[in-house]
Amino acid sequence: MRVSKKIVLLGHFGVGKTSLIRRFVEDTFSDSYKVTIGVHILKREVELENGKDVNLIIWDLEGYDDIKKTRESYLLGTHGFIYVFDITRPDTYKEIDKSIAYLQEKFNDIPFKIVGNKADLVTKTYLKENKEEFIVRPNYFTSAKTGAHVKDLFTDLAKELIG
Amino acid sequence: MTLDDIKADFYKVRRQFVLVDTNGKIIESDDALFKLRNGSFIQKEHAFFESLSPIFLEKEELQLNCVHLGKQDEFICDIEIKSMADGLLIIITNFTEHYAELQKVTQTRNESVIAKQFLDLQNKFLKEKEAFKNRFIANFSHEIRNPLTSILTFSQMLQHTELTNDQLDYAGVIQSSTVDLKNMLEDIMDISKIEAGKLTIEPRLFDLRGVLKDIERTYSAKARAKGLKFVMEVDKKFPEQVEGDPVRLKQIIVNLLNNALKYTKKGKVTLHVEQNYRRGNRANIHFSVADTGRGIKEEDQSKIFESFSQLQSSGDPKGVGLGLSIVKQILHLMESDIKLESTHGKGSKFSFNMNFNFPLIPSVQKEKKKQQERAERPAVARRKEKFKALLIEDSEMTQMVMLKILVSTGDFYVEIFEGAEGVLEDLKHNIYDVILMDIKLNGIQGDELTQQIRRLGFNNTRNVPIIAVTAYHKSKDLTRYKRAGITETLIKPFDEETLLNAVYSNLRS
Repeated sequence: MRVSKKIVLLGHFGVGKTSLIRRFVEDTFSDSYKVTIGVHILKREVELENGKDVNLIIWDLEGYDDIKKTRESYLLGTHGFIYVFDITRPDTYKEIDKSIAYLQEKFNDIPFKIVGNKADLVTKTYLKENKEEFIVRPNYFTSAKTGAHVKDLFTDLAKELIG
Repeated sequence: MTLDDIKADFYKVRRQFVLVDTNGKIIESDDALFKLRNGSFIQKEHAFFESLSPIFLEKEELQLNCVHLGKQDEFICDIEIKSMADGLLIIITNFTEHYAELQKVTQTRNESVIAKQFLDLQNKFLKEKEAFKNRFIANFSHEIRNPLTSILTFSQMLQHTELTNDQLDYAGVIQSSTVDLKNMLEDIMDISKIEAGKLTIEPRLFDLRGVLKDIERTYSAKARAKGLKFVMEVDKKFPEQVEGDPVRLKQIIVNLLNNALKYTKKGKVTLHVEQNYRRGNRANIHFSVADTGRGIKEEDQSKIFESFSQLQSSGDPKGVGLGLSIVKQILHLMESDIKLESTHGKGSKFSFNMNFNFPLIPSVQKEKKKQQERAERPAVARRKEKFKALLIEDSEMTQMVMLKILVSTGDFYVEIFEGAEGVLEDLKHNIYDVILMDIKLNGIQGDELTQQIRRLGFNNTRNVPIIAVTAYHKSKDLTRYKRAGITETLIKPFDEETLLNAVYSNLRS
């Protein structure tokens, strides 16, 4: 039987969590911003190179400016976290170290990925020259709009979860 | 809506009860919201239950609010899961309407927060850009002053040498182009200062008629050279001495006159000054500059006061298009505004009103007297024996310019030091009539060196006029120079006449 893994996306509102998931699950993108309230749950089967398959059940959580406001019940049974920030809005990453520390403290062994989204809005040179700006080094710079590194993000995490 | 409708809505069932076994197999469901097949697994019905199944049995009770359910996620529900003897009870409550309202409120709030963050960021970016631009302009302008001074003075001096008529013309063109360049540079510096909020109005008591007479002298000649007439009409009623910033007032009038001369091919340019009214010790004075030039189309009239906007049309005279913008912005700093009346093809009239305070009992016209004295000084100061000048300057080019200018008069011996080293020792043994001091010297500021000279304690080092030669002339700099013992400050770029005036007027006969 195919295994199911629960992945939760966290981060401030408007950073593009829903868009990343829509890009990954449905391969669609919309420029208009619709606030997520509560939680949407989407699912996609992922076929890994080693022949193993996995069901990623992705929890798209309402964004908060403070990670501590997240309803704890949503995080029960999570296998992997994705923390998303918007590279064009410093408010979404200026305290990212604290958010990551909070996650590490509460969910010590659970893998997580840090993602700087909306990479299509800046040049590669900008990212290179300003990487210190983001406080922590993100695992990926993604663009839900162009699809850049979105698939990598989810499949890499899936591989890590299957081991 | 009938009562029955209202009752139907009131009694509408919003809650579904589902019983499942420990594996998640549905035992019973009342299907109030969703249709569930008995015997199927709840995990298959929605990914929400699938991801939750591993923890079904771990908790006695579980509550998850605001979860999107249904085939299209069309329901927003609160879900309770309770442990029973042989399975689980799942209670799903439909709060879609309530949460949809909440969604709208959150949408508005988040959008406005993001818009504000975006604006803050944009402001920060614009400020950084502005600061960079101002820094760039300041550095660039400063660097350009030395070569500009050389071109200006050497082209002037070249005209005093033996030249053919053609050569004389060429030297004249170099000189007048350099003057244009210098004016443009000053305009650019002014606008960058204004935009950085660093241009300040420095009011003092001055002779308004004197300023106007100066302008008349210059502009009669300029107009004549262009085949135009310059008319100045000055009301006799306004007070002789007023309190204001004569430098900036003159700059406003001069910019307006330059603009008028630039765009007028025939006819006249008129400067009209009259008193609107006088109350107590305050006079309101009206200034206008009218021309018979080509005028400005109505649709262009609002544009001409913007920085770097010069109306495009063939045969436009060159320039950077800052003059009028500077006028508008300086007037704004002086709490006044520029007014434009213009008919395309007939001419334009720029006007403004300005308030001046003035002393009810006019003080002795010190300013005027001082100016007269200064003008006369060079003649008084001339004598048979040459003057000794000490020049402390690290730029070779500036050394050469000043040396040539001073020596060409036949009145000076010039001693040059490239820096502070040796200056104090030299001053213990030699007496000079004047010291010319660069401010930005290697390793020491000219004002500090001046202080050290003044402290040497000899009669001549205490009293010798020290003229600072510098590009740094903000009012706080000037105050610092004065405090250090500098007699006068000469601003780069300068021309031959300005240097000689400054030197002669400070010499003791």
